[in-house]
Amino acid sequence: MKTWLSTVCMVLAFDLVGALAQAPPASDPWIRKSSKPGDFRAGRLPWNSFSVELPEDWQLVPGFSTMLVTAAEKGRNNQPAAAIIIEHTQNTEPLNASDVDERLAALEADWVRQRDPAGENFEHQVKEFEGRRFLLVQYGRAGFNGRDHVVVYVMPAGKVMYRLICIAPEKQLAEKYQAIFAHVAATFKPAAAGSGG
Amino acid sequence: MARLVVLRGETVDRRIDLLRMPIRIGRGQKNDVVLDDPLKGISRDHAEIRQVGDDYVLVDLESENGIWVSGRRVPEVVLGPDVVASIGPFRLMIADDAAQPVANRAVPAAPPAPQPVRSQQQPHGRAAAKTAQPPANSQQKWVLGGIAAIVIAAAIAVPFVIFRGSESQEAAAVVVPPPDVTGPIADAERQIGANLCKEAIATIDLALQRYPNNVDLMNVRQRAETCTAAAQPSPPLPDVAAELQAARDLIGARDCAAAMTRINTVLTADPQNMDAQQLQKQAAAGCSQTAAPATALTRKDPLAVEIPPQNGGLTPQANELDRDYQVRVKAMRDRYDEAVATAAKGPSPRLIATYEALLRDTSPQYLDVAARLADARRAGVATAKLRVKEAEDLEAKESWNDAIGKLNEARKIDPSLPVDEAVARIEQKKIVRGEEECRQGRQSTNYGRHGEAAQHYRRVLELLPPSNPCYETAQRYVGSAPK
Repeated sequence: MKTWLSTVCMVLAFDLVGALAQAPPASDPWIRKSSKPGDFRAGRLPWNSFSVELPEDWQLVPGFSTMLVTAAEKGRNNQPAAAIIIEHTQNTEPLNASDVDERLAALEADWVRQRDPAGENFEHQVKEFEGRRFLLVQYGRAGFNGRDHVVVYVMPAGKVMYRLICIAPEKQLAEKYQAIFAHVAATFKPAAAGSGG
Repeated sequence: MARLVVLRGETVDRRIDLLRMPIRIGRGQKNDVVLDDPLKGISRDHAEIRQVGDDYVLVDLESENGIWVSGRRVPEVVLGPDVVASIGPFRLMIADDAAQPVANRAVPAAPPAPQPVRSQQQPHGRAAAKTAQPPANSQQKWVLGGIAAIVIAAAIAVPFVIFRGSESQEAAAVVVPPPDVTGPIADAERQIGANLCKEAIATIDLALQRYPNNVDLMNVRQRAETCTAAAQPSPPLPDVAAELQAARDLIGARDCAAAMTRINTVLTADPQNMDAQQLQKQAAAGCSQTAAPATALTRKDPLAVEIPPQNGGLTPQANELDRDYQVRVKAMRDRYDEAVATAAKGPSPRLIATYEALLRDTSPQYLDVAARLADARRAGVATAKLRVKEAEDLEAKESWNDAIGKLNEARKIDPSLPVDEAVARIEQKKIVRGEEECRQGRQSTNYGRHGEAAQHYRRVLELLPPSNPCYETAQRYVGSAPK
């Protein structure tokens, strides 16, 4: 009886080790698809140079110049709300995944700092998701009601540089907005490298 | 008593007792020993012999062509029986009276009556001549006078021979020309003086048959020829075509000597005649060495006197004129001097090739070329290894282009050195770094950092080959980048 039990335990232990070994790596909280895909819809946008899924109940606001569109959360009672701005700029020299490295991240962080001098605590990282390399720059700044947290996803696509500028109240970032931003970034796909916006 | 022996070729030109020091040597007439060289191999004030203790030191007076010993130019040299110094076409050595100098081998037997050139000898000659005059009138007087003359002549001749050496104690230099040619030379000189130039040439040619290499005879013959050209109308021009045809026929019949006579007739009238020159080569090639002296008499100039290769000489070509030979010797010496000057800049494949060519065109004994070639090769190998080491250091400092330059330099110096692998490795490093620079250039450009971008692109131009796609971008950017 004891022999039979020990054999069963050993088999179970092996299965457990095997299962752990085959488990996918822990996903990046800054870029991953949501477990509730129904909360998002493919943006009906007038550009076919990229595709993206945006929160279903957010409002789309037209942009200008390099700012293509802003998706803004509908706030209640003038409560703090979040926004995602999709921006594109032309690269002087084409940049591709191989150009995305720590140095580019530092350059981007510098550039963002120049654009938003009120920002503080800048951080930059190189990220990779489904074979795509991109940059992540984030920092804090004063917002309408308390402090905001800004996360900039930078995705070079040949002659075009896309930026998803995500802004949310710092207090609610982790519990609510990080997952939203992560899904939007995970679903953002330029149509083809080098195509204009 | 020490004596300076001056040789020209294998012939003793003169012997000089070294009694008064210093003795100056040169082309200038004010020198104690005047050496004449039509090719200007001797400077006006060429050298000086100084006595230092028991040694006689030959010192170069900053002459153009210098003093040469065993193929090396030297600023000074202690002369001795075994040390022969060359200046121009002359060779100098010291011989002791007690020991027969080597140079004397070339001198014919002792002259019966040396030609005196200093006033010290004149009283003996005059006295002898005066005493030797026969008394007049009676036969008895003639006999007595003859006996007396013989006795007096013997009395004068014995001390003359005994004190021959001491005569020169009052003179720094006594010149004794080779005795066997003094007669023909004197005759020829007289004939030249009387404008009997053809006769002078005939006199000299007769002597040249016996002493074909005698420089003095050749010099007088040259003067006689000049005199002929100046004093006599030009001889009628030969029928060139007929002469050359006859020469061709004679060459065909293997009668090279006769052919050469015909050819020389044409060449005397027209030295630039190409056909004659060509036939001359054919005739020379077909004639044996022994035939050469026979044709010498028909030549305008004396035949070449061979200078040993150790002294910078070349092998004379068949029937080569001394004039042409000297030109060849001088040209070869110029090549040698040029190579030696190049050697001062360090070893190089060019230097080695130059030495090899010199050896090919001369002989293994030519001056010190063989030793210099070996030195150059040894130095080349050592230098090439040093360059490889320098390349390794530069590679470690990422100065890749300089490192490749050093490796290429090493390969040039020593083509057998295996440097290809190192060059390929560095080239690969250059490409990797160049592409990195290119990426950084692109990044900086997109963020408006033009100064940085220009720096990266400049590195791209240094590191990547023009075939790389980034090279053109870099070239465009650097060309248009704001300063």
